[in-house]
Parts: sequence; structure tokens; C-alpha cells
Amino acid sequence: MVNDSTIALRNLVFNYPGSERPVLDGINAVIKNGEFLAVVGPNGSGKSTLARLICGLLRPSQGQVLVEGLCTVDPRNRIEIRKRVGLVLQNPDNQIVAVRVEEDAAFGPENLNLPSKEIHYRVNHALEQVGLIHLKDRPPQLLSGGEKQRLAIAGLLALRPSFLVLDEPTSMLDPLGRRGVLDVLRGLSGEGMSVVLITHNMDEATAADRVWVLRDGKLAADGTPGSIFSDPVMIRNLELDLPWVTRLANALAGYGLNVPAGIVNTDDMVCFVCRLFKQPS
Amino acid sequence: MFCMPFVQTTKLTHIYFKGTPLETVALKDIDLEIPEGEFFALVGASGSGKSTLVQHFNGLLQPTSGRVSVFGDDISTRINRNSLWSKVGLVFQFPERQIFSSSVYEDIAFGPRNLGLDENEVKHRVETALKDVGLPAGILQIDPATLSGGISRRVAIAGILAMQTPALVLDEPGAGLDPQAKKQILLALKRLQLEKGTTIVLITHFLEDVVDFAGLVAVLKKGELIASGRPKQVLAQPELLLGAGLEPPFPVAFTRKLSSKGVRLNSSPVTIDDLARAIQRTYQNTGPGDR
Repeated sequence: MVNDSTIALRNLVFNYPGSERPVLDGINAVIKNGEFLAVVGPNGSGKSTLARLICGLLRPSQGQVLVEGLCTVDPRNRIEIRKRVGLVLQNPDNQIVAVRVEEDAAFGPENLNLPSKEIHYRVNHALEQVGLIHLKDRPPQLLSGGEKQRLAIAGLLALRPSFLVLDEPTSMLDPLGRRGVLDVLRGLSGEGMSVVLITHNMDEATAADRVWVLRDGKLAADGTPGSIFSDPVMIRNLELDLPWVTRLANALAGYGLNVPAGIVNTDDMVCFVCRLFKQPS
Repeated sequence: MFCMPFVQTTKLTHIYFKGTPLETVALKDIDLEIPEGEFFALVGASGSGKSTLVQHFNGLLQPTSGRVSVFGDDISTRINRNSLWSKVGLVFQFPERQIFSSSVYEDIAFGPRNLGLDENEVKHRVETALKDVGLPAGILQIDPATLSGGISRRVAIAGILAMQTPALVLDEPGAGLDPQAKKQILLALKRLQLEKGTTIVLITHFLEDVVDFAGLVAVLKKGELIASGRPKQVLAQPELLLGAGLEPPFPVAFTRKLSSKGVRLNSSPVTIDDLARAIQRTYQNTGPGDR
């Protein structure tokens, strides 16, 4: 029995037309409601394809994607799936449609034919969630890249989706823009939103509850950031970049200071070093 | 040995739309010297004037006031300015959007052909440039539209390298690429600097790259030059960087977090290895005996 509040991938296979090798090759997994999932893996490992399959933009060659029990292959489910899964793309300029920030965020709910009071309420709330409420009368082209991505997220939030899928939303942003987007995602996740973040940046992945590593179309690893990034053999085999904290842990080991496995984010590492200095050794 | 600087600016000021309601001061009283053969990083938040500044280096813009000389020639003279495009290669952001030929070879050959070189020399330069960016010769006949982002970016950069200019200015060449592709491009630039003596000016938002690759760095904030010098000195100042809207390198941010929790390291590390060493030294010095 499928749990109604998950996205279930069942023996998922995807081939692009005319290509022999499947991009995704037999993925079985479940994305739980309310979890913050990061998907990492080298170029060509199928990350972006997976994002498009999850939100029903692409249909599986074999197997199934079930969004809260709805199969993405069935055309009758398509509108319902669009409401439940929102997708943010890499390039912030490609997803802005209106001439004012507020109108842009309202585009989705307007198309749902909601009463204007409801639209107003949803848009204001969404813009507050992404920290853009003070810019609601601004033309979007005057926003920075990071602000545009947050606007794209607000436009989806106004649709009240169950899942937010983001395909490398920060790769074209400067570091402060990245941090702003990531802070918004962390905040949303804290409020119970399900977030699927496709990323090349391992430091972003350490912010998630769970990490999937894709490689050659297969799910090569699935675990907490701590278990994945603390495993040197896995890191080497999967040719992943290391998060900064893991690099620091490795360097410290070289100076005879051993950091316990599982420390992969900055706050934990700061705590560890503080304890190191305060405890009698 | 005395070296003529690549660029020297004196009180360089640039004002866009001067005398109109849209008047914007993009650069203010910039005094900067970039030595020849250096790998020079220019950092600053979006809108701090980085791109405006480098467009003076190959004569695309002229100062509203002040002076800019490139390889010793004042760019206020038209003749000097016109000679600059063969001396300074400028790679804009997302240069792959400027690819227009139907094969990689034709695209890279466009620049050198316009220099009036014979086809043998053009072919030689195309092959060299392709090797410099680390791409195989097999790619030459491919349609650039079919290449991935990282590879087409490198093809576009090769098109500038084939001009064999003594200086290269690149505006965020790694933007939008995955970390490996970005690193390959930066390594290729470093190799050019070390092996051919090419002066490299790199605009970037990523200060970790500055630590790894650049010999000198300058920080712009709202059109003003607020710091310049060796990366290990400039980038070890988190308050200065945050004030300029930049994210300090991880080791610097980490040291700052430690000190906010009352743990002070006895140095200001900028690299991971320096940070690990500083933690170990501080740990030893305040070892069990002191407590």
C-alpha cells in the first residue's frame, strides 16, 4: 500500500529518445513528506532528469512515479500533480513572467481561478516566507539573481505544493545569493515543507536531512549527510567533492586530531573544536 | 628586474549617464597597479564596479576623469585604444552565448583569422588554444550547439586564447558550471600564466578560488577600491569582506565563528591546511597542563 503523502519511485527507468543507454536505470526509493532531501552526483548522472520525472514533466520509460499515490503517466492526474509538486530551475531569468514582483508570485494562483482575496493572502504570505515582501512593487528585472530565485520559490509556495523540487537553484548565483536561497530552503523545511534540492555543492547537501548520490543512473548511496560524507571510501568511489568541514576533518587528522565521523556541518564542527579546547584531554 | 605594469590607473572615475537623472557613479578615484605576468583577482559584490573597471583595460570604456594606461600607453588616445584589442583578450560572462559558428574549429579560428594570419598559422593557433583549455583535438569538427555547458565554455575561452594576447581578462569564467569544470578552467589559466607569462585578471565572487590561484587581489565596494594586496592578508579580514558584501573563505568564516564562541586561534588562517595547523598549535599551547 502506498503511503499517500510520499513520492514513490518504483523501478524507475528513463531513456531519452534515440539514446541506447538509460539515463536512470532502475531506481527504487521513497521521498517522505516533510523531509529535506539533497540529490548529488557527477554530470550526466541523471539528477536533472530525476527532477523532471518527479514533477511529471517527463514520463518514465519503465516503472512508475507516484506523487501522493497519483501516477505521473496518467494524463488525468497531470493538473493535480502540478499543484502538488513545484519545480525551480537553474537560471533565475527563465522563470519570471510578470512586471512586478507581487504579480509574478500571483501568476500561479490566478491560473487556479482562486478568489482575489485568497490570492492576495497567499502571495503576501509566500513573499514573506522568502523575505521579499518589502520588494513586492519592484520590477523583477531589477532584482539580483538570488532574489529572482527566491521570487520563483515564492511563486510556487503560493500554489501551496506538498513538494518543492529545485534543480541546481544556486549554481548561477553569487555566494551571498546562494546563502539567501539556502536559508529560505532551511526555513521552509523547518516549517514542514518537503524539499528536494538537486545540487553540485556538497556544502549545500550537508544542510539536508538525507542525501541521495546518483551515479550512472543508479542510486549509489542513500543516507544522512553525516554517514555519506564521513565515509572516505564512498567519497572516493563516487568521485564526490568534499564539503569544507570534511576537508577540515581530514586536515586535522593529518595533525593528529581525530574528528568523530558524522561531523559534516559547520556548527557541529565549531562545537567539536570548542569542546576540544575546553575539555581536559 | 623592472617590469612595466599591465595596467596602471590614477584617480580613475567612471560615471554612467552623466548629467542625466540616471547618473550613476560606477567607479570613484581608483588607484590600481596590476603587474605584468601576475594572476590578479578582482572581487566585490554584484554592482560594485568590477565589470566597469575591466572594460577600461581593453579600451571598451574610457574614464570620465582620471588616467588609465595599459602596457604603458594612455587609453585616452584613439590609436592606443585601437591597438588594445590585440593585446588584451576580454572574456565576458557566459561567453558560450557568443559562439556562432557551426564547428568548434571555425569558432576558435574567427579571432586569429581577423588578425590577418595565414591559414597554417590559424590552424596551429586553434590547436594550441584547444590544448591550453584541456580539450581533445577530436572535438574540432563538432557542432558547438551539441556540447555540454562546461565544454562549450572552454571552447569560447579557447577562441580568445587563440588571439595569443599577452593579457587576459575574464569575468567570472566559472559561473553556472559544476565545481570540476570550474576548476579545470582555472587550472588552464594558471598554466598559461606560469608557462607563457600571460597576465591574468580574474573577476570572481568565490574567494576560495582567489586563495588557490591568485597572487594579488583587489576588493571593490560600491565603486571604491577598499583593499588590495596578497590574498593571505586581504582575505583574512572577515569584517572587511562582509562589509563589501562578500562571503569570507570557509577557513576565515570558521575562525570567526570560533572566536565568537570564545576560542581564539593564534593566527589568521586562509587555507584549510593553515586552519588545521592553527587549531592544532592553539590546542598544544593551551594543552592539559595549562588548565
